[in-house]
Amino acid sequence: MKQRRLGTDPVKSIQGIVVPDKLPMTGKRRRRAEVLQELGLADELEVNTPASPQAANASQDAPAPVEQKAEQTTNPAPASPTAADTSPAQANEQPAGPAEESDEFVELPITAIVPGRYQPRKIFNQDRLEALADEILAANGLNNPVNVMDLGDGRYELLTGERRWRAHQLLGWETIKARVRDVSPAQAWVIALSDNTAAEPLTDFEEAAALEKSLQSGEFTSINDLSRKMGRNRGDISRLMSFFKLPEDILTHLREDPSLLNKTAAATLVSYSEDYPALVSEAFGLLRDGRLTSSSLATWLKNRARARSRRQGTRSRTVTLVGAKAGLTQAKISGQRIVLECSKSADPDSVLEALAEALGISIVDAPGAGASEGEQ
Amino acid sequence: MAVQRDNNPADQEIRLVHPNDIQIKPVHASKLLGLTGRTIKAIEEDHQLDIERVNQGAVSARIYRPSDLFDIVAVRRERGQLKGLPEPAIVSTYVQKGGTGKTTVSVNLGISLALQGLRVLMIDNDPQGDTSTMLGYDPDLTPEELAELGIDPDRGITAHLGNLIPLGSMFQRMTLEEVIKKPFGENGPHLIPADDSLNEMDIALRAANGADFRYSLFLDKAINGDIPGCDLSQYDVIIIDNAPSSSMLATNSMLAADMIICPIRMDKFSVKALTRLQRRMLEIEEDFNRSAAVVAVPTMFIRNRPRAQANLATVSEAFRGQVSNALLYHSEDYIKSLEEGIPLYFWRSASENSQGALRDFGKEIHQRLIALMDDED
Repeated sequence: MKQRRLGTDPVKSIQGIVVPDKLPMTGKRRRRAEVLQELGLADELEVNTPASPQAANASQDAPAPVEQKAEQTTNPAPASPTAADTSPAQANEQPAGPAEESDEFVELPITAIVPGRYQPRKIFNQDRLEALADEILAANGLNNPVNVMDLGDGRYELLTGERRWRAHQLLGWETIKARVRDVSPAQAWVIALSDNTAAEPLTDFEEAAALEKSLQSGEFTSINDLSRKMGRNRGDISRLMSFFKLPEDILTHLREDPSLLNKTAAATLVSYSEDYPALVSEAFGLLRDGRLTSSSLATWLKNRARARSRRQGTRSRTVTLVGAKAGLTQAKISGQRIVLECSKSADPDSVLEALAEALGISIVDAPGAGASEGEQ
Repeated sequence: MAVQRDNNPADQEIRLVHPNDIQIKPVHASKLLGLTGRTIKAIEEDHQLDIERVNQGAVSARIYRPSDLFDIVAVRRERGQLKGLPEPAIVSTYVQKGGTGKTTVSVNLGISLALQGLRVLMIDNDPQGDTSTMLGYDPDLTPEELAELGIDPDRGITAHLGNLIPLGSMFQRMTLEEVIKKPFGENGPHLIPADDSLNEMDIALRAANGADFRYSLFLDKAINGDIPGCDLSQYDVIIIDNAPSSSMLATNSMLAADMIICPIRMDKFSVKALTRLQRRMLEIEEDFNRSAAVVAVPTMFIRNRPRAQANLATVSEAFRGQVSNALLYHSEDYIKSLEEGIPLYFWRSASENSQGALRDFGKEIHQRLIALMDDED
């Protein structure tokens, strides 16, 4: 086929077929309805011949959805100015709240309010509470109302503002300015936590405990999910979660005093807790007594651990116990642990007893532990 | 229609694979949705979409059904990440020549547009019911016969477009609810199926006042929600697949259309058919000051043939702006996927040559529709 340069003669035929010299105008498009009107067909269709009872219902209902649609489109417009009216403090109070309804403020009786299960804060410093009460008094009320959820029985559960509520109690006021929010439990967790991290800082452990609780509530499917909805970095949350890998006795102390450990120190302790449980509890004891600071913790642990493993030689090895009378066959040494293995014919309990006797120690059941296979 | 391999040869012909039983691997799902696996997982988590898992060796992997993908799309549309069209569009697939791939183009375009976030209604306007077949329904067996064979009677076809259009008393009037099929669930493309009896519609149309415009009348009102029991206002796109004839059915669908998609092969007959369509559109435009945008899509195109290339160049020049940029290449995939009863768009063995081209085509038509429906008025 002959090559044709663009912009020269228009194509007149393809494979011997004459093509139209003109193309339909693609821009000239009228509405179907207009054409039908012009043709006098607009009222041609007998639309009112419902085929079944269903259709009859539909014909009555038909206009309704249209009206609803109109309402939906007009609604958002007045809604947004209302949201803008509320104080700026509120705007940063709910960074995560999607589709906020613009509820109004109400004065609720102090006694109708119960502390919330979503409250992450555990420490209420009396001095600071009094300072807050002074502020509230000076401002003649709250410019940042507390958020509550209607429990439906005349009581309201606090979502945010437990300190403000307590300050009101200190002042002896009878009512408190509140916003009644209708939110899902998941939103409640988000609101409670985001409110608090913005105010007086929570300790890392308080925050971790709140995150753990919200995870267990089943409202969040995973740490990923939680991280997205809370707007918190996933690594941060994981680091906070490492608190719960700490030995139980340390956690007990933390529940009493959440300020004992920050998250970095906790993560450091966790990284040593497997191989050097004794060192970890020693370190925690020093921290608690103020004889070791969080910042020097990592170095302290590193040096101690190195010293110990040097003393013990190789970190992990397995030895065969030759000629052991009590039925032991193998011992595995791994860091600070020794795992003993009995021969098949021996009864581990009697082996342990014999061992204890030989070493002059007594056997006490460890709390919460089942039949342990090894002895530390 | 799909044939599942079975030990008993007598059973072979009548086993229908349900289109939503298609299994789609995560990698393929990403491609189909145009999203990373990570984004898809995030959407699943946020909206508690349960995705089936199958064991693959030691680990379990997600397996998506088409309906899962459409659910994900619906979520994204709800969130405003995907949009509908400025105005609902009627697309008619038509060429007066058989075997150029009309049904394949229609069905895969419907799936593609639905995956891009449009709400799609497919209308099978061909008494042969090929579109219905490709989407997993059987135009030849009654629901009773299917039930006897142990197949879901919903896979049979008992009603068609004729039962919806108010037109004489030839067909019993039914509600949309009674006629519509949802092969991939609520959020996938919906279908008004067809069977043999749709043939009689031709007679009914001829007898009616304004015979050529009955579809226009019906669709225009139904899209506005003015027909009780047959509200089509929820759809962004209505795709009508036609028989390769010049029946009243086809004429009606052409006059109703905003866009006509004309699959052509690079042979003499196809070019002739395209030329005829153009003349017809010119006449319509002269008479009514309205005509559909024509998009010719080269199908069964063979890349390496100089003749095909040269023909394409000429056709593109003669029908400037009306030939799609996306070319559908000749591929065995079309036949194989049809044999397995799976629309090529979802068929896992398909090559980029076939499936990738269909995706590009779907995107191009989407863009053309946005432009077209935007400058109406």
